[in-house]
Amino acid sequence: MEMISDVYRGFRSLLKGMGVTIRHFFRKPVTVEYPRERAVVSKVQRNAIVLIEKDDIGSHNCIACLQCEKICPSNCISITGSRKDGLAFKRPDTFDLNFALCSECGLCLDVCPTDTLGYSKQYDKAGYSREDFFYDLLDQWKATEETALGTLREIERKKKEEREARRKADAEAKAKAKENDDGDEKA
Amino acid sequence: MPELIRVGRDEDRDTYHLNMGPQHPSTHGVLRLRLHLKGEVILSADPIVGYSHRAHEKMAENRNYIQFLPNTSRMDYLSGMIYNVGYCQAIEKIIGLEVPERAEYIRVICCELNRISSHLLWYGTLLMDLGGFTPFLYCFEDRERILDILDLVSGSRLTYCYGRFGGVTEDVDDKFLSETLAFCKHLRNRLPEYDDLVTNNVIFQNRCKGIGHIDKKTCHEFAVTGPCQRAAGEKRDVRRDEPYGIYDRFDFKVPTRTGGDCFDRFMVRVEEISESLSIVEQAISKLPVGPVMAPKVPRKIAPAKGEYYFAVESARGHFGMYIVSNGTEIPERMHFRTPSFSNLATMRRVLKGSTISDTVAILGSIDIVLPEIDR
Amino acid sequence: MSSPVLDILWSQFPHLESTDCADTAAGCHVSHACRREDLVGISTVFRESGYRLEMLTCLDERAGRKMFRLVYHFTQIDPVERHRVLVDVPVGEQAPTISHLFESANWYEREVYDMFGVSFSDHPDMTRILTEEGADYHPLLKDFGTIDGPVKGGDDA
Repeated sequence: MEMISDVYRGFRSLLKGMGVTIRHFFRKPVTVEYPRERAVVSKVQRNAIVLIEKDDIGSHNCIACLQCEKICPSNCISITGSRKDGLAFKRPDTFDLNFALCSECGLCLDVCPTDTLGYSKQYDKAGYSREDFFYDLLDQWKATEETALGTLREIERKKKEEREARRKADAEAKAKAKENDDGDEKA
Repeated sequence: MPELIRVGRDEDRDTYHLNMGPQHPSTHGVLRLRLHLKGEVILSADPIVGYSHRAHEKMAENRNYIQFLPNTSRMDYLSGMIYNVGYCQAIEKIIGLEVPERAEYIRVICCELNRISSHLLWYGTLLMDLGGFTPFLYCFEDRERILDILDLVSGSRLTYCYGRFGGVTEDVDDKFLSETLAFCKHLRNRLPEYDDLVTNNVIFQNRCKGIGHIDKKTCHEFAVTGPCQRAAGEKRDVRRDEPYGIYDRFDFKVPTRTGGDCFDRFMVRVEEISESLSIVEQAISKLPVGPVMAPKVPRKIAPAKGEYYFAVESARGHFGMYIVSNGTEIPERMHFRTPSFSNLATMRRVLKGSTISDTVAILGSIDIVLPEIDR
Repeated sequence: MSSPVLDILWSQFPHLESTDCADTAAGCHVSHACRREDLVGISTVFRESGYRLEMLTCLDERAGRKMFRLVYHFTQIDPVERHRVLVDVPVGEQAPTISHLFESANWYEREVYDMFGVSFSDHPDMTRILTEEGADYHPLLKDFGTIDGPVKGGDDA
């Protein structure tokens, strides 16, 4: 008797399960047919790092401080930089990223003092060999480098002139104040 | 340990040694089980681990505290957020850094979503091992939604480096909150479907009930933690017993069962999914405004000389971080007390006398992740 | 802090040096430093009082104190009480095993042997657990170097 009720309950549970799967049959599929459709990715998705354009310069603002190279736990960034005439900060000559070692931790973005590092929007990069993953971050900025240096020199020059003007104004104000004091004393 | 198979002795002629693994779809990682079998009955089972040893503890001695952040997620990649945030909380407690309220709530939301995603993966793979291929994809569909939600805020899907000392990297926006609430509602409607499909299924119940008993005595001797311990009747949860972060502000139950067999461990985890959903909903309703990063975070993290220990509740149990500092930026020693290491050791006792098909169910029900054992 | 197990320990092992760590970030309630020969006795006391061995690890202090230091965590689960026991093992000598008292110590001691070379006398299966069988190195020793040395951003950051 118990066996019959067990069989009945078991059979009913199987039918209930099949009902669930049949209901799923009539639902919209959840898959995205890549590459015909592309999934929408989030704005902060982490991919390889790139140098981001800073609006007032028209190029990136890396100053080759090597902070990202020092903090990378996987040693995947190597930068060389040098001082250019007329600029207070260095400018990078080479900026190489070995993306095969990158763990996308985001620490390099945290320490960048000029906030010029960001994530690339390409999430489906592929390669046939290890060398395909050696990225040169300065490649996209080579064409505009001369103009950017010119802009940076302009900005530096303007800053210097403003500093000079302010110093002059401060000195004149001080001299005038001193004259007034002397004048008061005499009077 | 390797044993030579002796030929010519009568009592051994009916027995043989079989390797289950290290490449096996049901061992949940690179686990090698050296079974001594008589027919299909196991006389002794020896778990051999170490195939994915990546020397995280050695790496910890060669990096400073900030540079170790990406490693934390890789140890147990299914609870990567819990490990990452837990490491941040450990160092914050040691150096005495206060985290803003909003960051604490965001951390709770992300950790509980991570816990749900880990349990969903466990659910699907346990069912797949037992032969039911359908729930695997249903669970992965739900898990995909969680991964997309966590991608919105942290930028990663599996191994997160989202926590920082003093808070989190990105703030959450309205899209994250609305999608999370929609997901909670969606999963609450799905759980009865899972019950219909799996829990009440006669085949599943017959395969899981009455096998793989881990009782209180075994839990005590092997220091078993997590859902395995709770299924045996010991109501222990690090979030309740040694509260960290702001877990003491949430109202959640700690599901416990008394049998200690596979089906009890299964039910404990299913109930934990509902409890985590409730914590997420409470956290979103109480989320305050404010910054997500502490105002003054020291540039160099160099805790005072000494020995420290901090524990969090991961999806698998009690995860403890033992940190020895020598006063510099580079740790002297970091040891990770991972729950799967102790939980797997019980298999030497539990698998004796069971059959191979029961082994698959038992291994699936204790929910181990091999990279966490091997570190 | 007061606990029944502390009274038993102090009465049976007068050489035990205990420090109260209850409100610090140390993560344990009491920390004890004990001698190697007292370890089995202390573990027996913890076992009989219902504690379990939660963690066992080792520190390589050969450069400073010329010793290996074993760290044991004995925990009571209800109410939560964690005792840290520190034992010094001279270089080249064995530590006593407690795997006959706590089953969890079986694998923990194998890991310590594997990583540091500290062997435990009378252990039922003193073999490597994480590295390959037949390896002749112990990776977590301080003089076991890494392939490319310490990562930049450590000492010179």
